[in-house]
Amino acid sequence: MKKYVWWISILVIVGVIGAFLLGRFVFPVPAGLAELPAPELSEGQRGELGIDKNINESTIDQYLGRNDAVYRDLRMLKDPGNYEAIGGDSNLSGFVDGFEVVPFPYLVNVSGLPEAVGDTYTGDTLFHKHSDGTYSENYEESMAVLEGLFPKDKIIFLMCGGGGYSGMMKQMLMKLGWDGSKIYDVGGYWFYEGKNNVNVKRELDDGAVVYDFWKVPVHEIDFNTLTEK
Amino acid sequence: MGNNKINDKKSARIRKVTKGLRSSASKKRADNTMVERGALVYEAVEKNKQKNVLGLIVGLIVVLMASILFMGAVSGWFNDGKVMLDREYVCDGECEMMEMTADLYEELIKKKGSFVVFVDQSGCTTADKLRGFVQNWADENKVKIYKMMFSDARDTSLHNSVKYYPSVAVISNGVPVAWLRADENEDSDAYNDEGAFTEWINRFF
Repeated sequence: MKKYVWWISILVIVGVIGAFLLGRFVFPVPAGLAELPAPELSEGQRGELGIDKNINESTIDQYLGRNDAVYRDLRMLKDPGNYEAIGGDSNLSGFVDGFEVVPFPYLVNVSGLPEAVGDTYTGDTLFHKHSDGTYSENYEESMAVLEGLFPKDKIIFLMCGGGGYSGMMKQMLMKLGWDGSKIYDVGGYWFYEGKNNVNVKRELDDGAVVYDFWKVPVHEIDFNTLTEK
Repeated sequence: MGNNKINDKKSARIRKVTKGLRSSASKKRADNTMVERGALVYEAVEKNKQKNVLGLIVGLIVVLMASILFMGAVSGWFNDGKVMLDREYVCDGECEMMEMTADLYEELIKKKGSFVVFVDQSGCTTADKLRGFVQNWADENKVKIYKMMFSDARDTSLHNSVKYYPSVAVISNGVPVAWLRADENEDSDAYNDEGAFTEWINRFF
């Protein structure tokens, strides 16, 4: 009798472990709809930029890979502004895995950069922001393109270099009818110290610096295919 | 006759005993005196010892305080908490910000330098306003300050203090003594208003 009890116990244990492994690796449950904390502003200057208190550079790793969300990095791969004039780097040197680049200057006109830098991208944009804070569409398809890039039925995580562009993007989306409670300004890549960093900038043996832009998932907008309003 | 002899013997014995007793008593008295004297001497020696130890402690404290005062005077501790910038940071004409790398920062820290550094990051519009405040202050006060990219600052000991950019850090004798905090409401005014920024930074000079 005791022998049978042993065998049954072993079988039960093996069965439980096996079921766990099957569930974890063979039949994984899709990224769940775990409840997200409501958007809440950080304190100080970061809050004024719109950076979220709960879901930001320090915590975003916990929220990556959700199938009910989109992740957008609003930087340009190479900013036309002369940032080298102020000792900077115009290029996107890294990003958080899972985020896809949608250059903010392609979406709306940007102004107010340092004089030494000159103008950033001044080409075509989907929208124009007026001095009174309103937006107008430059193309017939502008809103459709925007909805395709930032689906209204998804959670939207926004990131840029320091939180500036992502804050402006959230304001723009809310102004154009998006639900602000589903948009998180995650902040800036420069403050990210998590485990999902992807380096784009690389130094060669001879000291030359190269950028592996091929690594970056980018949403380009071909304005030639759009109908001007 | 016989009784007299016994009495004599008895008396002699008594005399002997009493003499002995007297000797021991006087000896005892003498001993006691010696003990008393010894005790007195001991007490005096102990008191002296205590005085010496106390004197030594007081002397040490005085020397220590003098050293502290001397060091304070030399290093400028007692200057109402103000920072004394190194002379090389005084400028005559335009006070353009100087580029600072991570290596340069650590070198100046090692040399216990006193300077101001603006923590910026290119490609981002968040620092524009503060950059203007900092440059204006530098021009008005004829002070050369450093500018360091946050991407470099992250790799220095400054990152222990400055977690977010833009920021302005005041370094005194190799130690960051003050910096603007982008994640604190208390420092919000300094980011948004030039008067508030000037008031903040002037506290240290």
